[in-house]
This record gives sequence, structure tokens and C-alpha cells, in this order.
Amino acid sequence: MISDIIEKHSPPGYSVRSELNTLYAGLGLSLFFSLGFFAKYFASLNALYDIDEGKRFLRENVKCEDFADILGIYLTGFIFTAVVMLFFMLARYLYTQTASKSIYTLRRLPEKGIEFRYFILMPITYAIISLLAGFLVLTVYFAIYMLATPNECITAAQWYKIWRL
Amino acid sequence: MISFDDFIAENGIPIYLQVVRHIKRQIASGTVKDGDEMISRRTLSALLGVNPNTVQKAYALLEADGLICSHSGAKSYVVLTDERVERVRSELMENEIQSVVSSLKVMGLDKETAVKLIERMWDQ
Amino acid sequence: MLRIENLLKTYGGKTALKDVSLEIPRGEIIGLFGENGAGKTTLMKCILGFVRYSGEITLDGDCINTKNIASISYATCEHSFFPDISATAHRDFYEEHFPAFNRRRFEGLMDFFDLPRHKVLRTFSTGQKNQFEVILALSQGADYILMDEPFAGNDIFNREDFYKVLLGILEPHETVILSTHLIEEVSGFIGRAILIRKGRIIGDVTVDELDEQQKTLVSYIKETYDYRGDRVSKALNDITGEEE
Repeated sequence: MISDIIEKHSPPGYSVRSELNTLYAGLGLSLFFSLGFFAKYFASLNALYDIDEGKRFLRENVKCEDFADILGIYLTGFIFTAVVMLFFMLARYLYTQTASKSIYTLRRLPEKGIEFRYFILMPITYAIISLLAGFLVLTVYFAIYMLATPNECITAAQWYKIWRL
Repeated sequence: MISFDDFIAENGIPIYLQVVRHIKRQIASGTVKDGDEMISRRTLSALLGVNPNTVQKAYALLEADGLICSHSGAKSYVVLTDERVERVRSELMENEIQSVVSSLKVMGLDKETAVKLIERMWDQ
Repeated sequence: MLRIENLLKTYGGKTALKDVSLEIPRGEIIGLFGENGAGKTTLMKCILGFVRYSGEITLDGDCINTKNIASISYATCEHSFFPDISATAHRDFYEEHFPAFNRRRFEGLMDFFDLPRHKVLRTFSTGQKNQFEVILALSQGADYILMDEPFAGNDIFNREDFYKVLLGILEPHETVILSTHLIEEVSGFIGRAILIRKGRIIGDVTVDELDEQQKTLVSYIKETYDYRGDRVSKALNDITGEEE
């Protein structure tokens, strides 16, 4: 189903399967890599407490590490995947140049923007999907941070600080 | 019936003239009769491997000669009368003899020797 | 009418085409002749808009763009079909993109050349690939059919079959521009010859004109190309060192 739609926006005969496999693998690995966030977050969370006679106490006047600092590079997998997906523009173009010069046929089609449609549209879509997935993960992690961290330990402007890089 | 089975293109003579001559020869020999349908221009072009315009030119020439008649650009038919057949026949013969005469002249034969030669060949 | 005016094409300072002006009406079979690298392919690529050029190329007065490009088709020895789909898939693709696609002609030619319909093009023999390339160009429904050395690798019987079919199927509004080395083979059926040398048009003649001058196409081409018949014997003399 999905591959039918993609094939409509690809040079005829181009293998859409390998693109999708790359995208899925990229998203999966990126998500897996992002889980490192939790290790670091729980460590930061633990640092807020003191253990006294087997009981946990929230230390006084402690602040939790900023969300942005904990997050660190854990979402870069999604950006990396997006960049890799853009390289399929080149793969698509090369497909029309090797074995035969089907680029000649594509360039003769009586439609405007055929090169955009066949070479650029889908790779950009994959890249956007990857970035959106990363953003989705970001908001989920942020929500977890905001809910699981004791309120008095959260410094102001956490969301803003993410974009301060 | 018009047949192009034995048509062999010669070098040096425009193809359309060869096509005209080929048809005229068949008219003279009586294999093509009044009312026969001409091969379509397109088919003849493919059959002989010649340009459609060449065939068109030949057909136009035959039409101008009154030997074929086209109905609204589609099929063409041969239209012959005894008088036309006779005209074609004598025209062809004159052409043949003309070419023999000129080549004999080129070889420097005089008329008397030429006639004798023809007489001798005729009787062989 | 396809009109080319003062076409100039340079590749990095090297002149590929210069002062090319041509008028090509519908309904002609034109042979485009010239040595390798003379500019035949470049001329076709300019017409199709594959390369930038200076000068003007118009079709019925309009620049060639997506609005009228469907009236020009292209068969090339480099092959422009898609390697990984079947003949039938090509048919569907062409039908989708070219409104004037001639399905009847496509199927007829597929039958005539006896080409497989469901195998991907990659698996065709070179001869079959050439035939299929030409079939697509002829079936697109174009008025101007450009063919660039379409038979490299086909045997003579094959080519002759093709010529006859071509002559039998062309409609009066279709023009074929055939670039080829096989001058003698096509001399019988082309109606006009365009000679190109070092990027310039050095000869443009109709067969009618040649008939009037009582010349054959081959002799005209040799003359125009300044072909020296004594070249061979001279070269042999030079090589073998024989003197008369």
C-alpha cells in the first residue's frame, strides 16, 4: 500500500523497497539510541535524593539537570537518518542513468516538475518523517521529564532551553 | 493484377520513373487490365522499401497520363482503353529502341550496319 | 513545422554546433548523416531540450516545452526505456503520460518483432532492446520521431524488416529524422538528406532535387564530403612503398 504510493512518485522500476527498509532501520536504530536518555535521566533524578537509613529524601535546594543537557545527543539518530534518506535523491537519479538512459524519457514527459516528483519529493518526505519522529520522541521525553521530576527541582524555561544550542 | 514481385530497382534511374515503367510494361503486356485495383501507395512504399513520396510521384504521373484514377485519395484503379494501351506500348518500344540506337551510335555504328545487325539478331 | 535558427552549442569552449538553421515540415523521412562526433546527437539533444544552447528552436512557432514536447519522440542507441520494468508496463506508463499514444501500433509492432511482453527490459538482447526502443518512439503519437543510430547491433534482415514496417505505418503527418551510418541502406527510402560535419550543416537536399540533377544520394554525399576516391590507392602506395 505505502510502497504503491511511493512508486507513483518514483522512476518506473526503481526499487522502493530498499528505501523503505533503510528508513525503517534508521528510525528503529534512532529510537533505540535515544533510549540512552533514560539512563542519564534516572541518574540525574537519583542525584536529587539522599538516602538516609534506607529512606530516600529529596535534598534541599537541589535543581535537576536541564532537560536539554540530559537529552544531549540522544536524538541525533533521527537527524542522521534524515540526512541519509536525502542521499536517495542521488540513488534515484543514478537509476535513470545506469543500464539505460531513462532520464531521457523522464525529461521528455509533458508534465512540469517531473524531476522534482521522481527524484526529490520522496527522499525529502522520508527526511521529514524522520525529523517528525524525532520531534515526537522529544515531546514524549519532555513530558516524562516534566511529570517525573519533582516540581521544585525544575528550573524555568526548560522547553526554551532545548532550542538554545 | 499488378505485381511487383519481379521489380528490381536499377541504379541511376529515379525510382518513381522505374515504378511508372514497371506498371506501363504490365499494361503493354496485358497482365494489367482495365479496372484493376492499384496497390495502395503505403503498401507499395513498404513493399519496395522506397519513400512514400516517391510512390506518390509515380502515381501522380500515371494519373496525369490518364492511366489510373483515384477516388477521393483512397483507392486507385487502372483505367484503360484500347487506344491508351496502344499508346503505352508504342511509347515503351520507342524508348527501348531509342536507348539501343543511342548506344549503337556511341559505338560508332552507321545506320546500315545497325539495321543489318538487328536483322541478323532477329532471325537467330 | 520544426524550425531551428542559428543554433550554436558549445561544450566548455569547444564548438559542437554552429550556424545550424533547418526547417523540418511534417511528413518527411530525413536521413541525418555525419561522422562520429559531427554533432548529430547534439542536434537531437538540443531539439529535445536536454542541453542548453543559443539560437532558437520552435515547433509550429512555439518554444519546445512541456506543452508541446509530446509531439517529439526519441529513440537512441543509448536506450531511454526503464531497465527494470516490462514492455507492458512501459505501454501503460506511456499511455498515462502521452495522450496520443498509439496502442494499436504498439501492439502491432510488438507482434511483428515478436518481443516478450512480460520480461523486464534488462533481460532483452541488444537487438530486442533496439527494437523496443524504436517501438516506443513510433507509438508515442509524436509528429516528429527522432532516431539516433537506432540499429547499432541489429543484423541486416532485422533492419530491412524495420525499414519496410516503418514505410508501411507512417502517417502523412509524421516526420522521421534518422541519424545513421548506414547511408546506402536508407538511401532508397529517405526523402531528404541532411549532412553535418564538424558541427555545421554542409548539405541539405531532397531526393527530388537529386533526381533532377541525376545524382544518387551516395554520390552526393561523397561529393559534399569531398571524399577522395584516390585516397585508398594513395594510402596503399604510401604503405607498401610501391611507385607506379
